[in-house]
Amino acid sequence: MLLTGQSVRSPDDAAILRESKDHPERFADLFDMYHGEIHRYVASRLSARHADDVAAETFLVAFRGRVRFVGSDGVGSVGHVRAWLYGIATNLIRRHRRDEERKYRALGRAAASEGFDVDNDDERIAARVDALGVRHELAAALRSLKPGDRDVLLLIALAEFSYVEVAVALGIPEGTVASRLNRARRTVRAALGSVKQIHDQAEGS
Amino acid sequence: MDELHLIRETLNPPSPSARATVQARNRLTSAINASGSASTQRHPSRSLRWALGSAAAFVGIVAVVLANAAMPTKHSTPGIAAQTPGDRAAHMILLAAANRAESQATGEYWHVESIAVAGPYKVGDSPNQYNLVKRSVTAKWIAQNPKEVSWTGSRDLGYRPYTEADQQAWQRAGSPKQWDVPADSATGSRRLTMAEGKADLHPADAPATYLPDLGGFDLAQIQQLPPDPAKLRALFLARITADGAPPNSWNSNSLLFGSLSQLLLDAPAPPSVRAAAFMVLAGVPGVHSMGTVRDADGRPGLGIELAHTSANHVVEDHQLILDPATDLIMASNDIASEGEHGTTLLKDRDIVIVTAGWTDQKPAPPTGS
Repeated sequence: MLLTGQSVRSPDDAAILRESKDHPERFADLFDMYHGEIHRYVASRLSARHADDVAAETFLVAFRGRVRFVGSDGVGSVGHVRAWLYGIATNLIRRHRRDEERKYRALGRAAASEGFDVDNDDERIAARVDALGVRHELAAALRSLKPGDRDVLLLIALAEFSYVEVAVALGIPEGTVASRLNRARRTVRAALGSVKQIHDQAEGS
Repeated sequence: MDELHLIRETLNPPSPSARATVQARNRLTSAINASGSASTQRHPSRSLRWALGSAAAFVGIVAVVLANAAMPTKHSTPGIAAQTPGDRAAHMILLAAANRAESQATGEYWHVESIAVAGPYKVGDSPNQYNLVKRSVTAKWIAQNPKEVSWTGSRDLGYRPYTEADQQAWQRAGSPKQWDVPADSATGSRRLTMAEGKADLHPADAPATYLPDLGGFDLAQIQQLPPDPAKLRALFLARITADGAPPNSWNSNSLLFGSLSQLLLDAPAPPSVRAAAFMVLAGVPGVHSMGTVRDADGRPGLGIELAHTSANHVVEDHQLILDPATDLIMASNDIASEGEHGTTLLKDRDIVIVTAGWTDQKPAPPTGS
């Protein structure tokens, strides 16, 4: 919901994309629909500064590739345009792999000193106190993932994609999506599990 | 909390700034225009010019017609407006306004001077009848520091002919400066005059409450509104839903549009929050551009509209007019009419904005010019 809740999604994005083949100006509608969430996806993995550029680049790449997209089949249905855009963004993010890993390192450090969102909701403050240690481990786990596994995990976590959409976004079979996701979740759970154990022991003693 | 949820919470980023959005969009529209299709030469070049012009100087006049809470809504047809894809021209205008708002400096006072135009009133004898409108100016100087005094003032600007045709009819009638019209008074008549009244200025009453349609916010709350469009939208929608308007219904969209307009016109919100408000406005389902329109004082600007016809033929129309040269809100129109062709006017509240912005100037009585 965090990335997708910003606007009512038109069911017609595939139609807009098809029309943009002959009427390129229609492509701007896709920008208006999806730039916000693509920017937030990139900012999640890199930084707002990176996202300014990478999100803009995503739409330029997509615009140039729009004819090819419409030409291949199995991608004309609802949701696949969005998956395609996330796929392009994900490809561009890969060029900044070191920056992404640096971000997770910084995130781990930040978790030790302070929270980083400015929400003042009581429930969230309580959750955050609990989560500080967890976040440190989470950041480390994200950093340790293989890039391909990380892409799958983050598309599912951040864009709330189904396996099919991840498969479209990354151009890999669904079975591969499932196995990469399993592996990534196991790694993250193991990292978080060790935190939880320590937490439980501390409470129990 | 499962790990996917935890990842979302942990990496939760802000929304893009208006500046980044405008710049990214301009890069795309440049590529679109350069792609060479004949069809690209129609609308996009105009949109692009707006966006570029706005980065330099863009004043918006937005006429907002606020939702009338008393309006019948039971027979409304929610869903139609919600399905309308975003209007590109409206999007551009509002993005440009957001971009401009974001870079504006604050000052000691949020200063709004607006002219209310009431009427029309018919005067003269047939066949030489013409219409007058009554104009009055109101000024608000809202102190950014809650400990400082806020000020308010007003001035009656008198009656004047309404349209150009009325102006000509008035001249043919000898350009009278006052009119006696029938009234339920002891003398049986009432005198309307062109003369302007005296301007006043006095300290504002008790601490103001902003956005009453959303349950009210005090000054401190207004200044702490989230600058992230997604969060601002979620906050407003939560209040609207709590008030009983189902998400995506006309009622909800109308309240959202109205509240954002109120926030932009009447509340001393920081520049980042104002920018966010324009961004959220651009995403209200059904919002579209009206092209160039004139405000109640006849000044041209770019109109943004949210309109709706209910099953019982009540038409509600919220308009904001933005000045294309400065990106500032120029006017707000709030119209409701009834009948199959919107023939009977139920409500017409037109407000012309003379100035709206932060200032360090000392409060002074409004002049209306």
